[in-house]
Amino acid sequence: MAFWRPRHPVNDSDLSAYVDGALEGAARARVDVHVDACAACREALAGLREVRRALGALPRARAPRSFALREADVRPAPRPAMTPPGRAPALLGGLAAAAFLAFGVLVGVDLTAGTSPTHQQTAGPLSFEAARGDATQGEQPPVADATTLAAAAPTSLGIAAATPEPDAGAAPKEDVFTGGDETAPSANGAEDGRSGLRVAEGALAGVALVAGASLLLVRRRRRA
Amino acid sequence: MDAPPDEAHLLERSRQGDLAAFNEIVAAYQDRLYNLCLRMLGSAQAAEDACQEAFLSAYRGIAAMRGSRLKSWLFRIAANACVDELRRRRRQPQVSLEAPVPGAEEERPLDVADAAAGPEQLALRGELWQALQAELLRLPDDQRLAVILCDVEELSYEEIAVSMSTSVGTVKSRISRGRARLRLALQGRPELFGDLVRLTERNPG
Repeated sequence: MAFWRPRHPVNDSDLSAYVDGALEGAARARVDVHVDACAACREALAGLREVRRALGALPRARAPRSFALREADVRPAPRPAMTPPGRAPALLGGLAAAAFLAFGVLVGVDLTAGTSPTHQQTAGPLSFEAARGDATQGEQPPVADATTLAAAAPTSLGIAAATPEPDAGAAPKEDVFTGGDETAPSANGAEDGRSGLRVAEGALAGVALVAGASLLLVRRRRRA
Repeated sequence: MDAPPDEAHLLERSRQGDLAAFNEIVAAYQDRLYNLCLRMLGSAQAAEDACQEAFLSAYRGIAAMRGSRLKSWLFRIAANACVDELRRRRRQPQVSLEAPVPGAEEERPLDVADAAAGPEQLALRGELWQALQAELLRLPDDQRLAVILCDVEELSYEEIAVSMSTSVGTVKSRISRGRARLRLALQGRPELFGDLVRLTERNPG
C-alpha cells in the first residue's frame, strides 16, 4: 500500500520512477534535492532499491522442456482472417440473429406498452470484432458476431443461462485488468399478464439459444 | 536473453506459416516467457500450461500481428495466458490462493549462482527467494505483473505498457504500488535483505 505524505514534494510513484532512471530534468532534480534533506524518503528510496535488486536476483528458471509446436498442434497455416464459415454456420447465425431481432421487437412492443419507458439493448457484442490472435480468452475461442449475439442474448435479457459469458465481448486491446466494454442489461417490463406475448418471446429466445448453441457446436467441431 | 539475430526474417517466415521458423522464435523466448509465468502463477505445472497456451496463441495470431515489436507482443500473450489461469482459479473456490502452492519452491534448472557460497548463505538466499515469491503471489494481479515485467524481466515502461495493453502512467503506478507493498511485507525480515547486498555484488542480476 502506498503512503502519501502530503507535505512532501515527491510521492512513492516519483521515487519508484527515480529508481528506474525514468525521471528526467526538473522532476529528477526535485527528487535529488528532497531526498538530500529528508531521511524518510531516503529510507523509502533505499527500500525500493532493495526490493528491485532482490527481484532482479531471483533465480531465473529455464523452460522445463521445449515448447516448440508440432504440426499436430496447429492448423496447416496461420490465417490472416477467419475461414469462410460455410453454409451451415451462416444459416444458424442468420436464424439466431433473426430470432433475436424478432425477440427484441416483441420486447420493445411489450415495454412501450408496459410500465418501464426505457430499456437498453446490449451494445457490446455487436461491436466485437474478430479476435486477433493476441487475445487469449480462456475457454472462449474467437467467435463471429452472430454467435456472441446469440450467446449474449440469454444473459443480457435475464433469462437463466447455464453460464454467463462476461468476457465474450471484451475487445483484445482493452486493459485486461480494468477493461471490458459496458454491456448494459436490458430491463424487462414487469409481468402484466400478456401471456401470449410472453410465450412468443420465450419461443424466440429458445430458438435463438438453440441456434446459437448449434452454431457454437458446429464451429467447435470444425476446429477439432 | 537477446532476440535471435535474424528475428525479422523468422517473423516474416512465421507469418507465412513456416512452423520451423516460428519454433526458432519459440526457442529464443521460451525461457523468458516460462519465467514470467512461473513468477506470476507460483506453480511449475501452471506455468508450463500457460506457456504452452501462449505459444499456441502466438502461432495462430502471428499472421495478423502488426508491426515488429515481437518481444512485447509475446509477453502480452503470455501475460494474458497467466491472467486467464488466475481467473480460472478464482472460479474454483476450493483452491485457495493463500495456501502454499506446490511447486512454488520447486525451481527448474536455474542459473544458480555462486558455487563459492557457503551453506548458510545458500539457505538464507533460498529463504529470501521463497519469501519474495510468496509475497509476489499476494500482490494484486496487475501489480504483480507490472513488477515482474519491470524488475524480473527488465522490460522498459513502454514495452510493459504494450504487454499490459495500458498506458505508461498506469504501468508506473502499478510498479510503484507493487514495490511498496513488497517492501512493506518484507520489512519485518531485515536479515533476509542483509545478505542480499553481498550476494548481488557477487552475482549481478
